[in-house]
Amino acid sequence: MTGPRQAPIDGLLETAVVARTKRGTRGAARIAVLGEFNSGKTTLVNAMLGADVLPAGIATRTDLPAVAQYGSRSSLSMKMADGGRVSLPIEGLGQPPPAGARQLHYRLPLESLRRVSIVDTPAAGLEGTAIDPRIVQACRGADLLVWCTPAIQAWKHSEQLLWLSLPAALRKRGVLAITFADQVALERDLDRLLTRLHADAGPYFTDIIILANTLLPAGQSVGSGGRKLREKASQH
Amino acid sequence: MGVDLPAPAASGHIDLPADGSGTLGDERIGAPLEYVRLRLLSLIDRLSDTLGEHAGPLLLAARKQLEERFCRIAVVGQIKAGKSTFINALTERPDFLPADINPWTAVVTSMHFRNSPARPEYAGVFHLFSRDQWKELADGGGRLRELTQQLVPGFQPDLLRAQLEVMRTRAERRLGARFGELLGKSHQYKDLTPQLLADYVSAGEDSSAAAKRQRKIYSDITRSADLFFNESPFAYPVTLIDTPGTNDPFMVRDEITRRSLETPDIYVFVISALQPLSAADISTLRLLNGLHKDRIVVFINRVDQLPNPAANAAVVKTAVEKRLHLEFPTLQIPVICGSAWMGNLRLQARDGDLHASLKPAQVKALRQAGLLAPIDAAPAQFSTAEQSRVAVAMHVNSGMREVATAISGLMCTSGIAMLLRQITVCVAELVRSADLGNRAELASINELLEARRREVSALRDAIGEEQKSLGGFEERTGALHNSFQAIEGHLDRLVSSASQSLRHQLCNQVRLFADEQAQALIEGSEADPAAKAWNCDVVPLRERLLETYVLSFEQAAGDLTRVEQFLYPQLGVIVASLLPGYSGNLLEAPAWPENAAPAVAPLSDRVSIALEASGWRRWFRGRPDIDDRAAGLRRLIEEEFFRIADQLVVTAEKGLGERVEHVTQRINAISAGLRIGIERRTANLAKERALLDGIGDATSLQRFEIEQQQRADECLRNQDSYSSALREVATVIDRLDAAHGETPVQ
Repeated sequence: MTGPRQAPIDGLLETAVVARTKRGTRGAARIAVLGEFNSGKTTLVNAMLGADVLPAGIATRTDLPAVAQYGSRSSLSMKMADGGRVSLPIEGLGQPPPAGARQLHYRLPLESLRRVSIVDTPAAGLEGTAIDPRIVQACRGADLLVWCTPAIQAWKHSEQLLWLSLPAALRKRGVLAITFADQVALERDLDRLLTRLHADAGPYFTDIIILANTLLPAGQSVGSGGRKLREKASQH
Repeated sequence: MGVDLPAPAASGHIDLPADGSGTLGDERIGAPLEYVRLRLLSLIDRLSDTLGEHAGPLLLAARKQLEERFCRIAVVGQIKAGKSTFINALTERPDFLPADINPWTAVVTSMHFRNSPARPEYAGVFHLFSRDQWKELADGGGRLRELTQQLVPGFQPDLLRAQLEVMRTRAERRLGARFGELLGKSHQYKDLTPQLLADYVSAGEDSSAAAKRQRKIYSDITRSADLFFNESPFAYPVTLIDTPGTNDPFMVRDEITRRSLETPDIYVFVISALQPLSAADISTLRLLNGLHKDRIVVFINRVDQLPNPAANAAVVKTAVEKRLHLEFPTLQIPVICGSAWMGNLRLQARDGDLHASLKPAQVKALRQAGLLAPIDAAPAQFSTAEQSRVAVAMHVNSGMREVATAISGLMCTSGIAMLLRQITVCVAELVRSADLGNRAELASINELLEARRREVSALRDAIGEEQKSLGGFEERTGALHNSFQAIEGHLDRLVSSASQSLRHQLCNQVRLFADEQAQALIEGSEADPAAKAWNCDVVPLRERLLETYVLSFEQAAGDLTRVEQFLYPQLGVIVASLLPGYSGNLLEAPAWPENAAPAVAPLSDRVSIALEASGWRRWFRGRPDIDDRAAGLRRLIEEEFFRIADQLVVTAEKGLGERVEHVTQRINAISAGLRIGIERRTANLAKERALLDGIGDATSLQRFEIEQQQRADECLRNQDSYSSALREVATVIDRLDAAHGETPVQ
């Protein structure tokens, strides 16, 4: 894609920090990333972290919500249903999590995490049409919720049902991110996609943004300001 | 479109055929069945002359079936899975159906591929909603709306309503004053243009662009589209059905698709390699599984868009197969990985039209794959050799060949193959019984001539004999006809009692479930008087109904089979006494396919009880009284599901009726054949009698003798043509058996 574009990753981080400040809550802002499977969640998380920390791949799925926070040295723990914590080797679980497991907690010495901590969530909608309570739980403290929808098959009915199953209070902090936008060849097509999404999904989100290639390392990702295109779309 | 092509040919991923010619010598789709169809048509032509009027209606019906019953293949899948692009690649019509970033297909589009050199009368026929159909859709499906309002005062299925409103106002704005006149009409066109498709079938076109072109957009009020073609990769006549995608937030399109799912013979389920087999895919597959047990091909599309196509595709395929096996352990569903985009690329390369469609990044990828000459500057035109290399490689990698083979295989075991077999068996019965009558006639002529040569009194005796023998024959044929009718009556009674029992059982299940739910609601409310919400999950009821339905159907089918197994030997005895030497198939009861329970589409009907949580909360608040709530819930469940039970019973009746129909068709063929013989002999007897009365007239006697000789000759000719027809039938059956056996088992 061409033209002067605001880097959307930085924009997302900024939005979360501003929201945090407005709410008057102290500490690092928090962003939760959600979506159906293979919708580009983990790659977006890695782009925000500025490092490939969490595994991404076509056959990989995260089983538990994973929270990444700043720490002076790397560590990994598992939060249990009873509130307790279990320390783990930083490479990960190695085996399926026990029944009472609720969240994974990464502490990582990454500069990016000083401003914003990030929640990566497991694929939504693998069972039924409502979001898993563990995901809802992990989103509660987030200042910004980003729903990832892949450009080629964007905003399906199932996604709409899943998103609407979240409590309204959480949805008020939602942004819809169109991922893998580089797979759309024509700029005109992206415009038309955005027009449709503003009509179909617009009412449920505060903003819609386009993420060009979330597979690229952070910093190289390019995207387009959703607002600008939205203005264009509303002229139609 | 970001394209990563498989690794270069040198590493073995692109499988190039030795000749590299670009034509792979594939058999056209459904070729074995087309062979059978053509043989049967020509056989019926020849038999119509020989068999005379009694056979007429049967042969006419068979001919009509052969000429008009296309194999129906539906292409289904979620929105934007690439269904239209897939159809373009499969039918070898690149760019016919447009590809678009937004869901494009708004209308169920049937593409009819005939196998005839004659130009079709119309290239496209578009049917617009009638006032009633439009009203039903615009009012949110009449009954659904009514029930929803009854369910929750003040509750509206907001989204669907809003979308329908958009559709209506848009249609009125676009079509202006003519809007009302258009409803219920069909529009026919001699030539198809991309513009026509956009006007009638497209969901994507925005109105400002259309206004610039001064065009009327009919797609909001188009119910279905029929497009007609002559040339295709299909040997057997095929109707290919493109459906609007499922899992569309625009619910109207989803609903239209669900309604179009019932009739096809084969389904191609297109899923995206990027998000393979989501929950929405699985629920569509469950619906299909209920409709037609094993006529599904899964095509994993968009493999070219995977980060590493060669390696990822194998992983995705294994995962999909595993999941399918888990969900449907008894089904053998062929799973094929590929790329419809590559399929189209192959066609463009084959037609020497490659350059126009490629972007620089794609050219680069093709260079890296070793398919294009490694020149840095983009040439104005690719060489013929390059295009041919690309065509072959894309054909192999697109998966289209495998899809064609899988479809061809499924066709050979589909309803079409069964229909061809049924027609063949019918024709065979007809010919055999006509043949036997013919032989009896020949024998009697020879006896008459013989007697004539001896003396007049012997002729009189012989005529008497013939009269007696014919009388007996007629009587026994009559008896046979009566027992046929008795069988028909018996089978009909069996079907009607089975459907009564099914209705009874289904309704009982509904009542039981409604009671349970009402009771649970009361108990729940008593246990927690402050509760603000209630949720009624109807999935268990659907499952119970499905189980009851399948069990009852199988039981009824079993009853039918037992009756058939008892009746057929009896029939065999009667027929054998009537026609010594009869060796038709009637003596064996037909074998029915297992798991033959028909469609359960009504079970997937959307019901108003399946409200989302917010709907239930509102419903709950609107009814503070516990007993009132329970009674309301019970009434809702019963009203919704009694209707579904009714539809299930109708479907079951239809399924059983089809089996009975098959039996009666066969016995009617025998009856018709026998009647042909009786008629001829009766006519002849009358002539002989007249002759005998005017005996002594030398010329008339001579004429009689000549006539008899001519009849005998005709009988001999018939005998030859019957024998050759029976040999032909045997060939056809062999071919059908072979086609059935060749079906690849994955």
